[in-house]
Amino acid sequence: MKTANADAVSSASGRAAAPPSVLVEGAKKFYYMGGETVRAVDGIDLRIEKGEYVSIMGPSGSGKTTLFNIVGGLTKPTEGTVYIDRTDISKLDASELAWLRCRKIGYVFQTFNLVPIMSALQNVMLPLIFGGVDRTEREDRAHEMLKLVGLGERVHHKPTELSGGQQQRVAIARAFVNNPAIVLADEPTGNLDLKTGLHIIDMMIEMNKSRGVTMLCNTHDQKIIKASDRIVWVSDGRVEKIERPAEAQAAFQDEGGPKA
Amino acid sequence: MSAVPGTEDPLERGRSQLPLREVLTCFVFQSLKLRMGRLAVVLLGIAFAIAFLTVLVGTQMVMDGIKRIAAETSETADGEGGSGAFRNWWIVVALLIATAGITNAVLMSVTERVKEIGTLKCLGARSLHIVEIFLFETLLLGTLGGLLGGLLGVAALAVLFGAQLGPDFLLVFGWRDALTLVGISVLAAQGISLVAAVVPVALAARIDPAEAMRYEV
Repeated sequence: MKTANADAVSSASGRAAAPPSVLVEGAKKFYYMGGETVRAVDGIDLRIEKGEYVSIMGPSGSGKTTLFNIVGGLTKPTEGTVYIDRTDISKLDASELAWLRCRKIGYVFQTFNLVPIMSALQNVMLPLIFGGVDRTEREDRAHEMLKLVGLGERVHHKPTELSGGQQQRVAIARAFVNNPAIVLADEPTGNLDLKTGLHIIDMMIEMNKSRGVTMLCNTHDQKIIKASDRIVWVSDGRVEKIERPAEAQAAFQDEGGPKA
Repeated sequence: MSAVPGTEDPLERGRSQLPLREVLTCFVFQSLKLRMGRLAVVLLGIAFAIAFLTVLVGTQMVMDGIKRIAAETSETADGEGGSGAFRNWWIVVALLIATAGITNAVLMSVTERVKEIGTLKCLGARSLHIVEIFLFETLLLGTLGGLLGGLLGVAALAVLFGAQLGPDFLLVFGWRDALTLVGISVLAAQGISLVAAVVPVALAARIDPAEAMRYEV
C-alpha cells in the first residue's frame, strides 16, 4: 500500500485508492509564551499510507514532538486538519479524542511509562478496559500479547521487577493489544543499550509487517531509519524533505550524523 | 465526528469506559496497598485529628449522660455547661487540620503521578476516570483514618472518664454511644476527605497528556 513516489507529501487531490492512515493538511500549532508566538508546527502536509513505517527526524526544537502529539491525538492543531484513519481529529471533543486514542492509537515512549503499581498483565489490559472489552477476553488477549513479545512467563511482574528492555516489550504489547490503526513510538530505543534496542526494533518491525499497523517513529537510531519505508525530516516546524532509507543512510555517511 | 468526504466514518461510536469495579480493583486498592508505607503517616495524621474530634464530641455525650442521670435521680448536675461554644471551636480546628492534611496528601499523590495520569489519558482514559480514581482513593483513605480515629477517640474517652467516674462511666456512655460516636467519626472523615480532594482532583483531571509526557518528576 506504499506510494511509488518518495515525495508523497499529500495534497487532497493526490489521494490513492485506499484511504491513508494519517493525513495531515496544512497543520499549524502555535504556542503563546511571554507575549511571543512560537510556531512549533508551521504548515505541515503529510500523508502516511496504511502499514507504512515512517521515521521522523529533526533537531530538538524542530517541532517533531508537536507533530507527534498532533498525529497522536494529544494536541489539537491551531490550524489545518488531521485525519487519523479517516477521522478528522480537529473536530473531536475531549471524550471523542479519548476514545480515538483508546481504539486507534498505540503509544510507545522513551521512558516506557508503565503504570508502576500494576503488573505487566494489568498494564497490557489497560487499553482493553478503557475499550470496554470484558474481563475474560481482556485477560486472554493480554496474555497472548505478552507471549508474543516473549514475556509469557513474567506476566505478574511489576515494572520495577523488569529490565528496561522487558519494560519496553510490555509497552509494545500494550500499544498493539487494541489493534490500533497506528502506533507512535517516541525514541523507543533512547533509554536502552544497543543490543536491547535492536531487539525492540526487530519486534516493532515484526509487528508492523505482520499486523499491517502503521508505525510513526521519532528517532535518531540508524537501525530504525534503515528499516523505515520513509524518513521525514522536520525543521523549523516544516517538513524539510522526505527520503528513502538509502538516501538517508548516504546523508549519515557524508556528514557523520544526522543533520541539525 | 467528521470523516474524509466520500468515506464512511470508521470510528465506531463509543466512549472509553472504566467500570467502578475496575476503578477499585485495578487502581484504588492496589495503589493504597503499595503506597501504604508513606500513606501510614498521612493516615495517622487524619486519625489523630479525628480522634481529637471524637473526644470532643464524646465529652459532650458523656456530659449529657451525666445530666440525664442527674435529672432522673433529681440531683443537681455539676457538668460544665458553659464550655460548649469553646468545644465547638476546637471541633472546627480539628476538622480544618484533618482537611489540610488530606489535601496535602492528595496533592502530593497527584504531582508524583503526573506521568501516570498522562499515560492513562494516552491509553484512552477520560478526565472523569481520573477524577474517579483519585476521589475513591481519598475516600478510602478518609474512611480508614476515620475508623482508626474513631476507635482511638473512644479509647481515649474511656481512659479519661473511666478514671474519673469509675464503673459509672458505662452508665453514661454505653456500647450504643460508642458505636454512634465511631459512626460519626467515619462520616465526618469521609465528608472532609471529599471536600479536601476537590482541588487536587480537579488539577489531576485537567492534566494535559501531551504536557504530562514531558514532565520530569
